[in-house]
Amino acid sequence: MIIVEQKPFDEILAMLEGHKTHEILIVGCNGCAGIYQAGGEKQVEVMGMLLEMAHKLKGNNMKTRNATVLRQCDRQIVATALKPVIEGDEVILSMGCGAGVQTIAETIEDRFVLPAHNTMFIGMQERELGELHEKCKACGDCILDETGGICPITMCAKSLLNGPCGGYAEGKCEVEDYTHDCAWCQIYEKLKRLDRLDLFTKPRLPRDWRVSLSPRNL
Amino acid sequence: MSEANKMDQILVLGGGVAGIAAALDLAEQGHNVYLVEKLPSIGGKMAQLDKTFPTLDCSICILAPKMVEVARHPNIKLLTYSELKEVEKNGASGFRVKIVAHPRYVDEEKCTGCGLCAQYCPIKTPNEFNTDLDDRSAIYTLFPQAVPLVYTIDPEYCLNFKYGICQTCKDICPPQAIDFDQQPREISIDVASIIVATGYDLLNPKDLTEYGYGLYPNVLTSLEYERLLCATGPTKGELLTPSARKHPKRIAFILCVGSRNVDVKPYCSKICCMYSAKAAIITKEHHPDVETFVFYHDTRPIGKGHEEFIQRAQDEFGVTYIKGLPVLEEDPQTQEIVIDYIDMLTGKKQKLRADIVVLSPAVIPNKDSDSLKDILGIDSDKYGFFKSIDSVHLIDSTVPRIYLCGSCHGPEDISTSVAEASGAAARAAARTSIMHAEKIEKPVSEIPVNPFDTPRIGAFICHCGINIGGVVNVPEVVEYAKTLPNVVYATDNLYTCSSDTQELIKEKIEEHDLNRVIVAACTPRTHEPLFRETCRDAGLNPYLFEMASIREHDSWVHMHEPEKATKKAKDLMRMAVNRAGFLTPLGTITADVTPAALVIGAGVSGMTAAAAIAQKGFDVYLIEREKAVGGLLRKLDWVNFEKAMAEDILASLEKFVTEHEKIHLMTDSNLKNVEGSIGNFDITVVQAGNEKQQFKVGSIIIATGAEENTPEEFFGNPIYPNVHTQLELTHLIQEGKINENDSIVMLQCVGTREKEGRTYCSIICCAKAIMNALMIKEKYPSAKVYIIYRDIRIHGEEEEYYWKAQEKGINFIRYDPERPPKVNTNPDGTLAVEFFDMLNQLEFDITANKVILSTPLIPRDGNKELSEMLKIPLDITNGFFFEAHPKLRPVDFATDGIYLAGTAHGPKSIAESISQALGAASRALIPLMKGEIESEGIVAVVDADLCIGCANCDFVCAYGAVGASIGENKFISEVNPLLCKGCGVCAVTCPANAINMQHYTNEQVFAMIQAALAEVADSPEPTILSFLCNWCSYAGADMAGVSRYQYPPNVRAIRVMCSGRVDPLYILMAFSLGADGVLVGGCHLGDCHYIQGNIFAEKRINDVKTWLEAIGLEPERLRLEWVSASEGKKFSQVITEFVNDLKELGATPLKSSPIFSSREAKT
Repeated sequence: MIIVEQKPFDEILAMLEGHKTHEILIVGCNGCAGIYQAGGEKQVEVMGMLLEMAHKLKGNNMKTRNATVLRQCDRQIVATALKPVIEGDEVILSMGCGAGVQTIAETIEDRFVLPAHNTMFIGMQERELGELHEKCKACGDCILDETGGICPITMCAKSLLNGPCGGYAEGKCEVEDYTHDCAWCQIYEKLKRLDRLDLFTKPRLPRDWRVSLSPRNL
Repeated sequence: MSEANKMDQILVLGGGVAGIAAALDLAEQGHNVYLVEKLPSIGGKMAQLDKTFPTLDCSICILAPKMVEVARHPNIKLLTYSELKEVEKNGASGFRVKIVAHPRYVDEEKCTGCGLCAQYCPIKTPNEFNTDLDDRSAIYTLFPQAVPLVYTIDPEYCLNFKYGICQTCKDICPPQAIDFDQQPREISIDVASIIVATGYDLLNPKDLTEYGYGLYPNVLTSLEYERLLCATGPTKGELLTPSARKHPKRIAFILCVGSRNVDVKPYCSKICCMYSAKAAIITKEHHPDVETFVFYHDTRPIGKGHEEFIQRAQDEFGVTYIKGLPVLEEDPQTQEIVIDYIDMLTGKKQKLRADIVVLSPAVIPNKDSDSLKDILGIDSDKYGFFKSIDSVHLIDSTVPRIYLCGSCHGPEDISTSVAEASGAAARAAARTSIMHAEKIEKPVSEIPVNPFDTPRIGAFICHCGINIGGVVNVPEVVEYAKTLPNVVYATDNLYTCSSDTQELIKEKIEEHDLNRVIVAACTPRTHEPLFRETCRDAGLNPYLFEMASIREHDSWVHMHEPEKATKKAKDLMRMAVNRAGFLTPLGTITADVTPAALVIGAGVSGMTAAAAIAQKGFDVYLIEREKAVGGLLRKLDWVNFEKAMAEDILASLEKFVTEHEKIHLMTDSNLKNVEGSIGNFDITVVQAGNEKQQFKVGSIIIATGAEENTPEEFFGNPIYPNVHTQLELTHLIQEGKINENDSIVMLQCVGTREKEGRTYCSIICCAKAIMNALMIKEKYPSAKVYIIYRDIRIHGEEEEYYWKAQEKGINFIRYDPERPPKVNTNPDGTLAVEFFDMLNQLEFDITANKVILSTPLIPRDGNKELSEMLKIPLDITNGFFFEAHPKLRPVDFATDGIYLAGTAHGPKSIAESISQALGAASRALIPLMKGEIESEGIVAVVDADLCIGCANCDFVCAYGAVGASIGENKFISEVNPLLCKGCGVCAVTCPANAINMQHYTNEQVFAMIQAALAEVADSPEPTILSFLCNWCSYAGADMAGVSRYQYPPNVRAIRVMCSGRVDPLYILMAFSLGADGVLVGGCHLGDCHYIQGNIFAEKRINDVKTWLEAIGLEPERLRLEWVSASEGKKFSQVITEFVNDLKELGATPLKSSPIFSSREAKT
């Protein structure tokens, strides 16, 4: 999933202030952001109420309307779901990820589309602890088959292909003062458990970083 | 009561928590039950307690719903203020009993419980419910939540009875319920069996002169202190010394007052250690600066989580524990109590001064038990407690068909009493011919009401004598109601709850074609069921009824502000009318139950439970993963001091389960898969060497047991060849492998009571060690046995065997857990044991031939898989299964249809496992005997079109009732209405707004918010909107009313089932419509009726506060308060304080220019 985090409310208000409008269409996303309760219909409604109250408290009027789409990152869905809804001189506030903001902006060209969220990473949801963890850098050259399902590009501070380096102690990484696990130590443990240490000792040649060059298209 | 076979009726004696639990189980199974209580109300001792250990639940809050259930149950005939007079054998099949109902001098049918009589009664007499610490009138109810809520005249104090000079109550009683000519009534009934649950009394410590009880006003008994702490007690929960009515600085608790004392009561009273720890903790919660001391002999936890609780008292709350039993003296100047004691851990003589001393008197048999024994013809033991048939079947009395539960056969805590009560129900049920419950009849036709029809509302507004009418201008409210939209009929009644008004309501429903009914009167918590029933009788769906509380929430708490109270009544009326427009008829669904049960584990608990279910004629699948049945029993010899033999118990159970035609025993088998829910579980079992088997059952009992831990080391010492566990020792003794002159050292608490890791006390090891020691001494009198212990923890009448062991020369020496024993090998192969003797403050060393480790019972491996497969919780700290509620649902899981018995729940003795297994069987029998299960009307519903399949609902539901069945590739959530309890937590969690709670829908709540704030702009005073949970805070507000705690009339309450139902949107809407403040009230953390709804509430409220701050509205305008059902005073204080705070903050700017959001457009 693409993980987002809501911007500080002040920042959202400041963002809106720059636009000479009193009408906002808040757009939620039932894709990733909806699933971990950052950009679903409920969050959109809360955002709308808060914005209206915030403006009212400053003596201004602000009208918000809501629309939540199945996935903001799908151009056709956005076109069919949003184009007929947009009214007046509404500014759009997206509660999806960066891809969502851009998809809307590209589809509805005559509007400003503002991000309510910062897009953080591709990650995993851990409901039990209420945490979200980064898992993938989208590097374009996956080697998880060789590393026991643990990505050294994402999880190793240096994105090493042949680890660990000399900077670990008791399984922790020197970067961030030994608070994070060393990815390569974990890879070693995992492969040992699976009895495939041959994969660990296998030397890996420097990879071709050109596949990671942005922007990428398929 | 239904007309079932009269011979199959069951009598339950005693309306305390045990009697209530037994009666409810039996009634649910379809039995007709007579519940007889001597006092004017049921509730027993538990109703008098402030809190319960180890959860610190408010006692009356968790008991009152059960009491109300008893009163409402169609199969229970409640006879309060009544006593058993005669029992006659009625052939072989039961008894003919005579019961005398004492005259209350108040007609039970007529009394509405309004309480006017008590207000006007001129007499004040000591209030026995508050342990005589305050007064009551001569016409009284025991306590505000009394069931039945009917007044009783005490002829001993009533002026009319004494001198014939006063009839004030008779003159004032509006329904004319007073009847001075009432006579005792004799009732004769045939019953199949009798359950005795007559409870206990406490020793009066007056005769124990060393404590000065009765002489020194500041020396109290534990029950007196309990009332002193309680919000409904004599000081309204304010902690004050009895002598000077000032706040105490030091409070001491003294244990074993009369107990464990050869000259008084030789046995251990079991419960005092725990309730004293509880009282000390609550004291600290009231006033953190009060110093608390507990004087003890040995600390003795008796159940799961208890050891940790006593530790918490010390570590977290700073309660000082002192080993030593003191003598008390009063300082005549200050009336402080001087405590003289020898600290047994240092040997020093010490003095301590305390403002209050609380004694824990011995638990003694109920004062009526002697006469009751003769009436029933049962035996009692030498201490006067009723005697069980043998030492392992505690529920069976010495007379067939008479069963015992709770403290009538020896001191018990609440959870054991409740488990035993269910067990007694199972035993009693086994003797009846009732095989299924009769279905409760429902009216055939219902007036069809379409949610989109225009509402036609009828409003009935109650004067409640002068209770409401004396403050609120009721006719004015009626006129106002008539002006509200959709109200086609409005009237006032003197008593809306009287039976003639019920007829009037039915008449008006027909006459005016009403499709919604509103009653504005007392509280829905007591009277909603009555009015719903009236609607149902008139053919109107009961969920089309709405109630406004204008008594508890209005007239009683704003007595001196009649105008404002009238205004509030109008507001409450408007809210009710607005909501009523959105009420929809709700149906329930029923499902047939597969008449079979699955029992997992064929140890003593599993086999006992299986036998009890099979006896009622249901198929039982009993699966055991070992090749033979018996579990831990196979490894035991004596199972208790009375020398009951494990092999005998095993043999009879094994014979029963292998021979009974209804029991399908599968050994060497494992549970492979479980699908479905209560009533219909699909089970797959794999038996070694066989095809997998599939079958269906209606309920499941988990009885997987526990095992003795075999450690890899102890206290850092290696396991030498001559080091064994207690169970291994039992075998060595049996096999004769002990030598005549052996020196045997037993080490207690090996790998238990740890600071981290196994923090629990294994409860049974002390008894096990002493049993083995006695066994050795019996066979080898010259052998030396040392028991090196931390606390000797044996319970009840086992105490005498502790003395016997000492008499036999078994040495008991207390070690210091900070300096655990060291063990080394000597050259001759013996072991050298070194440790520090705490009592003598000496280093000690013993040469031992054998060192025996008392290791704990630990959970079986495989519990985790079971817990995941059945979605039942494991306690992560100790690995045992987690029951639904430690006090009142000790053998249930939160998920319906799954029950728990034996050591899978936590360490316990064989006798207790048997009682608990019978209890689990009784609970499991309920759905089987009902034959069908019915869902609640108030359940969550998922709008499949909106659901995004995120499964957040699945994650927050404590009952496994909602979720996307991802395993079955369903990506839309569904609610299982048979499991849903209606808390609404999932509805708030749903990011897609796809879940709604029926009867507490968003539309209904929004309509109420809107109505509540419709006139807010006109009010110069702060306006508070509150969302109160049904179980605690709404009940707390009711209690404020009942107790007449006055508070400002600025608050309008919206009732929700759980604080976890309060959507942030509700709060934001309230503020945007101009509310000056919003209060969310829930149960105290840990008390949530829905397990953890309030935890979600807390998190959400914190979020909303941050948001409010971000948009520039003071976060102080939003308050979250935990108010329990007994904290009426707290509720009134919270409101008073909040109103003052809001006055200081000033009106919110949104008051003059509210925001009408899109939500409103929809409504």
